[in-house]
Amino acid sequence: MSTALSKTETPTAPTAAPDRRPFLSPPVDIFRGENGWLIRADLPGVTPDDLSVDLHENRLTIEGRRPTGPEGEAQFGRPEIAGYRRTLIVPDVVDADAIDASLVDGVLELTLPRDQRTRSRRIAVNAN
Amino acid sequence: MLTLWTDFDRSFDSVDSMLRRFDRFFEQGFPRGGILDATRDSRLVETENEVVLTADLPGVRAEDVEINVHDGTLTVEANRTPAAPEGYEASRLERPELRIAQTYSLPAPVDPERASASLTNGVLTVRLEKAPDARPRRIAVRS
Repeated sequence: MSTALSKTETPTAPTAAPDRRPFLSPPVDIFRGENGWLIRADLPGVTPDDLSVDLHENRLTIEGRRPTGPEGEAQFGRPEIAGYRRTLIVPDVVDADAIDASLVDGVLELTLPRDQRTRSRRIAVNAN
Repeated sequence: MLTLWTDFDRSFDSVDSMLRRFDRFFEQGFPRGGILDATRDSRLVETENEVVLTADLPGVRAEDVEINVHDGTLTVEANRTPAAPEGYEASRLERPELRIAQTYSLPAPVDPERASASLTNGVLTVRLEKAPDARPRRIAVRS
């Protein structure tokens, strides 16, 4: 189990007190529309301040940290986690400047509009 | 840059879903279904004066949660049905429909009248005050 968990941990710069809590890969829904895409990801416990969404070339990385829970003797359940991290490869035709993100009830919703310039269009053919 | 495939392609969805299921199997021992996986998504902690449950319920509204304390157990019921947004078609669906009915044994007797619950950022927190008899009591030592 420890091997599987460490696999999800991306090597980060060592800090004075390393956070050993693992990151989990959140489940996502992806929808396709006429003008672009919509992504929803479950990120319970993450606040907007602790969430980052980065697009680098066509790699969209979602990373959210969650606060530690109540201190005390754990009776049941999973160990504490550091948060969620996932990278998605997005189509090249996404308009990076127009991506919109909202976080409601622990669900991240991203809209990725299709770049208008690359949308398919019919090209009129002139006769003679 | 030429991209041969993206995470948005339906064609690779089944392969990726399968790989994710493998990952989950090795991480958690079994794939996640449409129910709350209590060992994965919730945590029950006993503190000096309280028993505190935190459960991940992303996208669940407060009115869709029911909590009962009865006979040394705490039961949480919750629902969510992820709906496709209008004008879009699904190309990948990983977020499960939630139909949760989970019962937890309480590690200490609690006072059901002194319980509180909140749902913030998709996390349910139920705080149950321990019954006076179950709390540690400091006994003064006379000199």
